[in-house]
Amino acid sequence: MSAGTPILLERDNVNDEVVTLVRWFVQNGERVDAGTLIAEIETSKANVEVQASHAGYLQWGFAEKADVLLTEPLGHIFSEPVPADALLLAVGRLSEASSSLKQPAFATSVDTSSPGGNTGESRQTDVAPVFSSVAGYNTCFSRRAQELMQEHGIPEERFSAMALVRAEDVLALIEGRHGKSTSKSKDHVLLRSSESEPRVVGAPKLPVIEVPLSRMKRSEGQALASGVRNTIPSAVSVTCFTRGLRAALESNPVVAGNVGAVIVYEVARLLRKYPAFNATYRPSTMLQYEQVNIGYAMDDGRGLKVAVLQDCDQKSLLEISSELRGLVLGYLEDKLNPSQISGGTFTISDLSGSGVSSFLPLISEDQGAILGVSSEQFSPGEYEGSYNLTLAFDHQLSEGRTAVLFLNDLKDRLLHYEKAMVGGGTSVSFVVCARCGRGVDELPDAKSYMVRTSVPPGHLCNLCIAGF
Amino acid sequence: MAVAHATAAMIRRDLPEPRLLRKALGIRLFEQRLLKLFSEGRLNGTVHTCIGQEWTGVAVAEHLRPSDVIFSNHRCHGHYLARTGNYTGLFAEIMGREGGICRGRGGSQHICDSNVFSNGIQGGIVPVSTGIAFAQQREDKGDITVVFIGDGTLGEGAVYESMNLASMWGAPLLIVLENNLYAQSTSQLQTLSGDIEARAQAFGIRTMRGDTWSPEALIESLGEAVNYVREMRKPLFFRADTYRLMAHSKSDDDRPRHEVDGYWQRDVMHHARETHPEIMVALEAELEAMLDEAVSQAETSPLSSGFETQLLEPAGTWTETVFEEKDRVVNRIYAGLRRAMEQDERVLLLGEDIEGPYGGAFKVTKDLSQLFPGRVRNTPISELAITGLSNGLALHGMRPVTEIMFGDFVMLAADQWINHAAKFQYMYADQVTVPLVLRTPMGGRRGYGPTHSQSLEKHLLGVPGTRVLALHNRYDPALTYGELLKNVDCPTLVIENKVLYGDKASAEAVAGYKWFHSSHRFPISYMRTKATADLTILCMGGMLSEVEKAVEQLFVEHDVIADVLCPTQIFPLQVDAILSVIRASGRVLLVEEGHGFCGFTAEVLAELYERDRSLRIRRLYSHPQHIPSSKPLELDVLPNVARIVQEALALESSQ
Repeated sequence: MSAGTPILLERDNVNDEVVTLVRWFVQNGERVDAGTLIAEIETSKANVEVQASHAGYLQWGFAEKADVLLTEPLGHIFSEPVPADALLLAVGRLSEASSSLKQPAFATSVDTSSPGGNTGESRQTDVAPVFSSVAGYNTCFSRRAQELMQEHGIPEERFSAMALVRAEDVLALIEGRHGKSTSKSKDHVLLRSSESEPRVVGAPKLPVIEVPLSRMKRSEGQALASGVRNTIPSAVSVTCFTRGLRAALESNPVVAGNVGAVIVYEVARLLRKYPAFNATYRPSTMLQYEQVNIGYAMDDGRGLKVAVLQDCDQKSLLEISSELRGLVLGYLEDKLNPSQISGGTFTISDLSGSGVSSFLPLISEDQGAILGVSSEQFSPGEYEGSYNLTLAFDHQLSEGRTAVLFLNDLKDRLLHYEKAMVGGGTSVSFVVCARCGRGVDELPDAKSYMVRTSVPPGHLCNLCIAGF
Repeated sequence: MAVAHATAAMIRRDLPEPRLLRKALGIRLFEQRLLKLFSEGRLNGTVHTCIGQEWTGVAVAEHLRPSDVIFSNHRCHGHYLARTGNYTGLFAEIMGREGGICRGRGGSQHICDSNVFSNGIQGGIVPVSTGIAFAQQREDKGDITVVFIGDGTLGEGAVYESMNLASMWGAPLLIVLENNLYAQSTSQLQTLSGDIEARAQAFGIRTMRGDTWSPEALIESLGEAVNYVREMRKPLFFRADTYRLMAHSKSDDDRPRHEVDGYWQRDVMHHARETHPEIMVALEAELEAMLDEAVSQAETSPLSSGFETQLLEPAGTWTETVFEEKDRVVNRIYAGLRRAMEQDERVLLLGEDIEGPYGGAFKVTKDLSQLFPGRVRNTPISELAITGLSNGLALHGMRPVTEIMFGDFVMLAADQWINHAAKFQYMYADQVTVPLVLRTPMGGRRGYGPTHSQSLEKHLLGVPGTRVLALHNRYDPALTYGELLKNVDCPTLVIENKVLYGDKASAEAVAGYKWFHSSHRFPISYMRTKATADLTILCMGGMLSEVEKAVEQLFVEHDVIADVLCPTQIFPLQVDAILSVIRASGRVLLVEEGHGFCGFTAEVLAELYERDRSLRIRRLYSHPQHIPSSKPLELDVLPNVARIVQEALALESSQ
């Protein structure tokens, strides 16, 4: 496609460098004639109408309400129809141009400054000022701080709790890391690590194409990095049998096939029993959350988002089911609001629809564990499938044994649904071990037997009861 | 003998009717009693007696309704007493007592009672009267306003500006000029060129004439004048020839003795004493007795006491600033004015070039004249008169919002601001309020030169009874105007900044900071961060944009954390709130665009230091010279980012 003629604005008012595009009168890609009214712009003096200089097909350069530098063309006029992808490319720019303001991460917080020391005279003005804020602060780094961070390889996420990061803050972190206590002074000589060379992350040696990461991906990366840095992650898995679970849940009127809701519901109650997984690590301390807010991770290709259900342990299965449905819908329609994606204490990553056999989910920022649900797998010849539940947990707060107990507990509870549907009675041929899944006929030797159990409901073979 | 008889017959006139004679004589004896009381030390200050001129007041009072308004000058006693007969109240007022008509605060020259006003500023009363008359015109109840001036007043430009307006806009204003040939000690022959009535006729105003030596004729002609003004709703100029028989104030009379004596002979009441002694003596005795009674009655009231209460606003709380609508500052001002006009039909806009489609020199008023026909008026280039007119409108219950096109011109309106708007409520003992809003853009950085770039607010800061606001772009101007126009409790000057007009009004803060505002009626905006700042920068108005850039540079380049206070209300100052914030760092840099000597920052420094000696304070203001037109030089003369950073670093490193 030939290059289009740019639509340039005249300098109406010497004092204006930037004008506002109030609105377009023609659609993006629409045909115009010479003299057609195409847009209205607002300068500091007056509103000005822009006409097409000649006939052709108009491509928008900016979205409505965007601020336009006077040196930029408002758009272009092409002699041929503009292909659809060219219009789409423009769209990407449209959304960037119109959101020039930073959107801070929303977190409800009441910020009260600590009371300053009394200056001696007691007066009404000595009462400390009270601040109430709506959103969080963005983090900004001074030039010297950035230099230090690059020199010592300290990533930005270390300071995500701060608003303004100065050289002395970076130095404090470095000192803390090396356990040295030195006097704080702005002119302090840069600390060197034990290596003689300062670690600098430079460019790779092979040719590359730079693809800037989207804001969403960057903040996702920041959150994950923060989670990883604060934890020592480990993971355990159990295999569950789907035999009839899905059918049972589908026919259950309350659940109506919403397996995710069941998992959320059961996990919520389990977390009260295993509070170490509903907590986060701080030096020498486990901070156990008073609420159980479960984040349900979703990604259908338009970005990973975690929708949070608050106070899950207080809600009934029906409430969770409908709330989760609502959140999924919100995600699909891109209508999730900030309060719906924040404040989680535990996360469930449900990949049961994806075909994956197992995966290691990453623990989120300020959490202590995450549950991954894999997809149903079938062995050749088997008509009953199995799926894996993986619990990744912070080993600073708990250990493998507790994790396994948690998972087995969960597995048993899920089995309960199936049992409840199928009914209490089972014929001998349906007796299987709830753990290993072997039927009576599959037991290894004549001495092995099945024991009827209530927890887990059903049967266990003696080998699973005893262990190895 | 025959000649003498003839002369006496010629001089003898019929006495005016007793009722009128009693009024005029009562005034004269009152004035003489004042002079006597003064010599006895029973009253202070000064009085300007109208002995010899009494008949003008009496004649006018004959034709007025209670809802008509008189606005008089320093020589107002006769005008007041003819209308109200309140000798006691006026005595008490001049004696400085609580029982006075203005509780002793106004005294002889500043009275307000029963729709009779006076002020001791010559000329300045005329635009105010024009404003009252114009308000009466809009009310359409047939009321009029009478303003009394002297021939000396014809030296003041305010008179001509007002006549132009009154004639142009059609105001039911009766101007009565008491032509007594002298202004204080100066003869008219030295000061007055041309013809008196021709001055009014040049504005297309009808003129009439009379004199105080023919009281009945005077009353009749003034009746005709009042009717004309009442019916036609147009101004009229009445020249009343007269003569002041006593001194301007007291004992300052150097006029030739024979001239004065000649007028004594002409004087109707003086002559009546010779021709009808029996009537006059008895009347005098009766009136003197009445005055004795009035004086002793007045003296029972205690002397005026009590200061005005100063209401200091407490520190309050701080809330994060969230903008509902983001738009240019000029459009937010427009939105605020428009909403106010929608909600209160008393709101009127006056100013030069403000009607649409031009919509104001800075495009603030845009299409308001089309949306609210008749309530947005272009004025002639008469800053003094349009401010005075607005004062009159405000006194009469309207809500005028008057634009002075450039803040540099606001000094032309300074008399109306300082000597009228600011004082009416106090000196009239709270019988009136002045809900006046004056708005004007100030500031440079546009290359407009020395007389179009100034920040002159310091000359109008600190006038008791007023408020001064400076808008900026981090608190929605629409909210400020909305709050102000909901209740204009005192004359308010709103300073807008030219450069900020084009900026976006939003809560966008420097990275790592957020904007908050205090809980005051006109809040202080505060840009802060999580950590405790090293210093606080306090500024106002257009300087905020430079300060924000400086704060960013201070952090990124110098690792210095500064937070920013930007009050909207710069007078009276909300000191407690400011102190509560700057205590944390203990260091404050004050920045203003105006001159430092006696400027805004000087006052803030003084008020802060008076309360807390431990604070470290520095100031930054414009270089002490006039603002040049050459833009690069201008940007150096005015405070800029580099100088703010430099001062802040100096402050931060100081012990």
